[in-house]
Amino acid sequence: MSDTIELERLMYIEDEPDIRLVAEIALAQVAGFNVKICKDGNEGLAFINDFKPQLVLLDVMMPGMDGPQILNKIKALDEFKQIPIVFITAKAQAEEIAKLKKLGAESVITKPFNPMTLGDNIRTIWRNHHESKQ
Amino acid sequence: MSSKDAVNDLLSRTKAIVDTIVDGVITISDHGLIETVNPAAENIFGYSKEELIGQNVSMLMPAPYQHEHDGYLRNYLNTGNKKIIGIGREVTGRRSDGSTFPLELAISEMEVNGQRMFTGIVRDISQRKDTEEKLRELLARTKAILDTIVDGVITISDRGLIETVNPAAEKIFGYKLDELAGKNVSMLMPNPYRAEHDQYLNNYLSTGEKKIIGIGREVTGLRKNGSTFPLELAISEMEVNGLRMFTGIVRDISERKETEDQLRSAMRRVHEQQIKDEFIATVSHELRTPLTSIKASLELIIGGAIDKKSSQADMLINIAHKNSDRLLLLINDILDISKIESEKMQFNRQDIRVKPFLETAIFDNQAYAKKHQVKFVLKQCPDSLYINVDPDRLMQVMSNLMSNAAKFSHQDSIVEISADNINGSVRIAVCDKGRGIPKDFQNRVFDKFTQADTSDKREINGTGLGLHISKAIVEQHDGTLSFVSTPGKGSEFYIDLSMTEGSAQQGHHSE
Repeated sequence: MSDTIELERLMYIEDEPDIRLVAEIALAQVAGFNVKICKDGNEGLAFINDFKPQLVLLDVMMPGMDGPQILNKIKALDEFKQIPIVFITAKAQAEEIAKLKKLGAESVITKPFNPMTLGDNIRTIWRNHHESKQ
Repeated sequence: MSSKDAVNDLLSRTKAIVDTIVDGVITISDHGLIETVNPAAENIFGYSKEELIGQNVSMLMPAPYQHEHDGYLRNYLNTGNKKIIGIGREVTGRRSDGSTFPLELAISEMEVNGQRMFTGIVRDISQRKDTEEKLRELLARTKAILDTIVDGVITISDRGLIETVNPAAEKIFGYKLDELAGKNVSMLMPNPYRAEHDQYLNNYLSTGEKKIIGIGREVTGLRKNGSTFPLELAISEMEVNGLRMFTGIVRDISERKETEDQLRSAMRRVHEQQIKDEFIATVSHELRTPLTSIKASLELIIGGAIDKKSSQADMLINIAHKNSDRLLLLINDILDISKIESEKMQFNRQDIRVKPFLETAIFDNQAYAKKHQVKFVLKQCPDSLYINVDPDRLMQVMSNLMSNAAKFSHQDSIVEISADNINGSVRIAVCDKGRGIPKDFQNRVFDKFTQADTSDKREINGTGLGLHISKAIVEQHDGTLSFVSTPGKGSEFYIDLSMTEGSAQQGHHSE
């Protein structure tokens, strides 16, 4: 049994308003996380220092800054360079997923996701991330 | 001057001439013994005068001529049969060092003080022979090259008549040399080049204006069997014995062209496949996005995550419903694109009057006006304008343009619809005073899945396919869809279509 720190705070950056709504219910109400949902990269980066997420969920295709660009910005911040980042994308092709992982993502979740099990999936990713670090 | 002095003077002059000419001069007696030699002869044979005088002239000949000479001389003296005397010919000489060399020999007979004598004039032609040999060798090599190269070589006169062709040219065109020699080279070209060739050649000869000469280009050749083929032709001009001639080097590039065509078509297929793959990936992405909202909303309700009677449940049902509409819109657009690209979209064209058609368009699209709080106004449309279109498909285009205009207009603004006769064509215009299209996006407006701001797809509820479909529909009517747009000031979209004469019948949209 490892002494993994419990995952409590996570941030989700997503430009699709309806997906933001269902994701908030799935992550906060169903999974019990303290969630900060942001509509774009600028908002996410503006809140990251105060909110101090332990894990960030990122949509890929977004206006302005896209997911990979936000990932780079977060990884460039000293405090968050080790933070696990998970892409949630409607780009479901295997080569796209491989490309996203190569960018430094911890994992990739494809849309449509199951809101009832989304939290469990993220906890598994969190555990794996910590086990691989130990 | 006394006659003696004159004789001496003549002798001196004659000696000076004989001593200085480059040809060797040897006199022999009727016994074949050398009597005099000039310095050139000494030089040619490598003997001194003293070594030669009194010796049989046959010493200057190699075997077997050496042994035959005395017999030949005797025979001549007895019979008068000449072999060389008074004729001159090429023979072989022998130098003092034993080496032999070709020489040109001219012998004349004379009588001096009642004694028969012979004068031989010899010219060393080693160098000339050597040059001739080299020339022969060069010619043989050139011929071997011409006979074996894969390129055809054809020479023609300044009248365009074929003079020579090499075996490769025979093979390329399927003719034999005797079928080509003396014929006009235009026989190797299909029309219209054949007809133009002589004129072109004459034009070049009179003006110096070159089209191919010295340049080289791809042209079409005509084989004996009537088939044509692509060939690469390089023509050069030359002068032979004062006559202008042209050499054409022809290379049959059929195979190369075929390979190039195959390569091009393979690359096109790869490119088409890439476009297809990208389209499928984008479609998959676009379908999954509303599906995520629908599925997640329903799963949250079904999974019991929220109270089915709560306002949150109502909100989720509303999300699912809204995204179902979006999904349907997307599927319809994708189906339209699929039909357009496979050329399966059907068009039931009929003559319709433009004015009632536009009035119907304004009426049918009121929902967009209401939703975005704008007003559609028919600004101008002459009664007499008729067009031949599929009214349903053109209405689809109008709905797309009008909904776009409404979406991107400011609240309470007016969207003007108009039509007019522009140089015999009908121009339907949809003009808004909205946000306009950003300059850097204007060249991508008609691309698939594009919107100036990708968030527009979400906020303004579009698929990013509408203008692409509209453009294709208008083009299927042999018309054009264009626009002018100023960022911050608005956009004007124009449908230009051929005008039908006023006698046409009204379509159902004008009823």
